[in-house]
Amino acid sequence: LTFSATYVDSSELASAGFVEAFPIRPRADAVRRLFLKPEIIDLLNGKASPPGGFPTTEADEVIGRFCAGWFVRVSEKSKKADFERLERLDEVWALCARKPGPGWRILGRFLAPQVFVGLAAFDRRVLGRAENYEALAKGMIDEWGKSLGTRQPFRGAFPNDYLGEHAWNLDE
Amino acid sequence: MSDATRLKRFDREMMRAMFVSLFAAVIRNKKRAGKFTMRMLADSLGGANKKFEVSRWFNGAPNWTLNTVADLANALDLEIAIEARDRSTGIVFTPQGVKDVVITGAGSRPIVTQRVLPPTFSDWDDIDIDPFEVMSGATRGAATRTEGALDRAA
Repeated sequence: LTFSATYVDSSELASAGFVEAFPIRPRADAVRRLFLKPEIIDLLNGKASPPGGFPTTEADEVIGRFCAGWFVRVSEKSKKADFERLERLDEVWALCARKPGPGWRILGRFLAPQVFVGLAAFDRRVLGRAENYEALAKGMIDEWGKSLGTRQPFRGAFPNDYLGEHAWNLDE
Repeated sequence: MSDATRLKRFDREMMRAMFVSLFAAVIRNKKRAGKFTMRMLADSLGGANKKFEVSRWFNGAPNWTLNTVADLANALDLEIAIEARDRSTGIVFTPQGVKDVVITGAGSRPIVTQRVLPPTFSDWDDIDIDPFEVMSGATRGAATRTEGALDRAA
């Protein structure tokens, strides 16, 4: 990564069991950073069992676009967003790989501006209806605490404090 | 899906996304500056492009033709600049040939920046050949110049 990439103490994340995820063709001018549990990376690469239908071009592309610092669609309501901040939950976000439908969601939180930490990946069918989705998403707050202790997630103005200038807010 | 297929599909999607991202940045900037709406963009693009179609482009990953890219650039009053970097050598190409070469010393401190001239027609073995041959001829000529420039700098 170049000097322009967001600085984060990756040793803290490494000791919590996260690894930095890069697009399948990384760019030297990447500006956003993604940290995932190794099992999520295996899932995205089609190495998990059961495989979950990965790898998919759509998941590769949304991760590529995110890391490159390009335009991402963001929302608190829309069903078309790449990133959703989930309502009524404290800083729980979903990185959405929507195709092939209904797709998958990587639930996590922002550690710092432009630094997303994915805690767990769910088949959208497993998340199911709103109540179940919300319960599982709420579990991410505990999951964060287990991994990162008292470290607080990043909190800022939606959406640009999280994703930089190049976030297309579908709610506007 | 093989790794090669995965990479090829990824490259396609990212190429599309690059243009969407580029125009989204321009539109966002113009909106902030005021007096710009998606309706105005749709009108500039012509009657066939309704506002909802133009807005929909930014909700998906449109596979625009180069004509659409040109029309968008025209409507937004943009001059598009394009360059390509050879992943194996780092050489950056523009439609005019090889871009400036930066020769780095210890600690990646730039020590020389030199303009490498684009090829001239006399560099080409035969200008009466198909365009792809001309491109490879141009590339060859420019690469030779680059090596010469590097030798002189050394």
